[in-house]
Amino acid sequence: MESDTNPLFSIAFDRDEKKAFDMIFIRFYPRVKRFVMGFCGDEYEAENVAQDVFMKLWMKRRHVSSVENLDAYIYAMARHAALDALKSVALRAHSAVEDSDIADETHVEDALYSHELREIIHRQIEKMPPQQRRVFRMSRMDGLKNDEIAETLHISKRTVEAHISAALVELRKFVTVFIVEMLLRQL
Amino acid sequence: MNNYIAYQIVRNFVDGLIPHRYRPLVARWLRDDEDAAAKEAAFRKVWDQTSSAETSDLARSLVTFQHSRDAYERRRDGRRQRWRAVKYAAGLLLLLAAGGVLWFSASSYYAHSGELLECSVANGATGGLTLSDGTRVRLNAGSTVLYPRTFSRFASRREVYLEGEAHFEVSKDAEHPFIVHVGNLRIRVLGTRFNVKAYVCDENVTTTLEEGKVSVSNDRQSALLKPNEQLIYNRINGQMRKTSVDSERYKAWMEGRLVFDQEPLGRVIADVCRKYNVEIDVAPSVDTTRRYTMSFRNDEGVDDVMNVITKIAGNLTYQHEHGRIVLKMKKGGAR
Repeated sequence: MESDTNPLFSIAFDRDEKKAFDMIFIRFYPRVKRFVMGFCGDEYEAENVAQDVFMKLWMKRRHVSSVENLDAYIYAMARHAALDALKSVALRAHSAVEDSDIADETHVEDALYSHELREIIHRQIEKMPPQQRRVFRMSRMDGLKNDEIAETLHISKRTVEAHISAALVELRKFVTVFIVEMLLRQL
Repeated sequence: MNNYIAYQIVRNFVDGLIPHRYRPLVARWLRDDEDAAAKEAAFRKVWDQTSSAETSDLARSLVTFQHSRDAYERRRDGRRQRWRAVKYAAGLLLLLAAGGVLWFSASSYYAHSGELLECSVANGATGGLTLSDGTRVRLNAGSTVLYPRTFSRFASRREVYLEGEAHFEVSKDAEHPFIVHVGNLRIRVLGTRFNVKAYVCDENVTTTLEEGKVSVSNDRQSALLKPNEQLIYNRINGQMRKTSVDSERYKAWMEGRLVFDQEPLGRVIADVCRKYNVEIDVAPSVDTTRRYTMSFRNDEGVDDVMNVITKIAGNLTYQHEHGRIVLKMKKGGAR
């Protein structure tokens, strides 16, 4: 990932800051929005948070034009904004004490290994078409980046992204079904 | 907590695979100070795995941002006016005098024997200029080129900066390769004729070679072009794609013609806006990814273009409204 700003960019920047900044916007906005969306509830909120990040970046633009690793800088701002957006969700954790399912000593790891959910997810992954499963495992289990996966499997980055999206769509459907069934069982 | 578990939790949370009732708990954990190092590594990993492919609403998001930015700047305007004059003078002085690290460490700074001049062409027009070495540059609507008043004899290269679209007829000088900078991209030529299309709002930079030899590179990769070859560089994912084309088609704009060959509607509209200097609002329901192949002579106007577009599409209609054009779906139309 191109993370550095060309030092000669500063010349263009001095001439027309808005146009130079627009180039940064185009390059990083999609990524910031996607990243934030994982933490926010919905796309509308993600858009607002992302716009806010770039507005703050604009206000600091003088500093930005001399930053060496722009990717890392923007990442830090996006992470800060995403965690901020989680504040309202986090607050609800206190009121969940009434919920008999979440005991006081519940560890966050239980969220991951809760009940049979892990089993269900693993079974779903086994059922995926081979290439999709391979890509998904390399991403979510081995923690590889999309371009690393693309290079290893000799496919395009776009194909990698498509496989991961498709896998998530299926998995989310199952998580939803699982939750509904669990709730029904408690009735 | 080890890094792997932290990553799995963050990853699953972001993927939407943590059961709803556990989300508040995980959210609270994400925000607290425990296991900070593991969490930071997890967040960073998720960022690295986040795609930077263009979102379908990118252009609209950019416009939204520009409006907010303009509003913000207008509020600060009073103070800014006074600063602007000082800023330019100071900037130039710094470049010329402070020299030192910045000036001599990068040979390209050294290439400029002083000021960088700017030649800008507004929407609805085209323009041109001749550089100090005899290179001829023609600029299309909405384009700007920055160039030194004189190319330094001591520099190893001749360098200019482009935003928008321009056609270059570069004077031969084997000792001094000619370089066009477009963002992080460098287009390097000897003596040659080529066209570069690199508008800010386009995600692609398109370089088309007529004659001579050109290399297009950024820090990671480079490509070599022969006559009638074209390189499309995607600013978003950094990919370069080379194809064979009829280079004449890509300089049709110099004769006032508009030529589209399987261009998505979004880009067609962008070119039309710039050429005729008119704002076009496209309704969100219109499919801007649909491709069109058509061409227009220089005696045809914006209505001719809009008529052809709506006729080819079949389900679109346009009208003039308050000095701009609005393009939308036909009511009760097909699809």
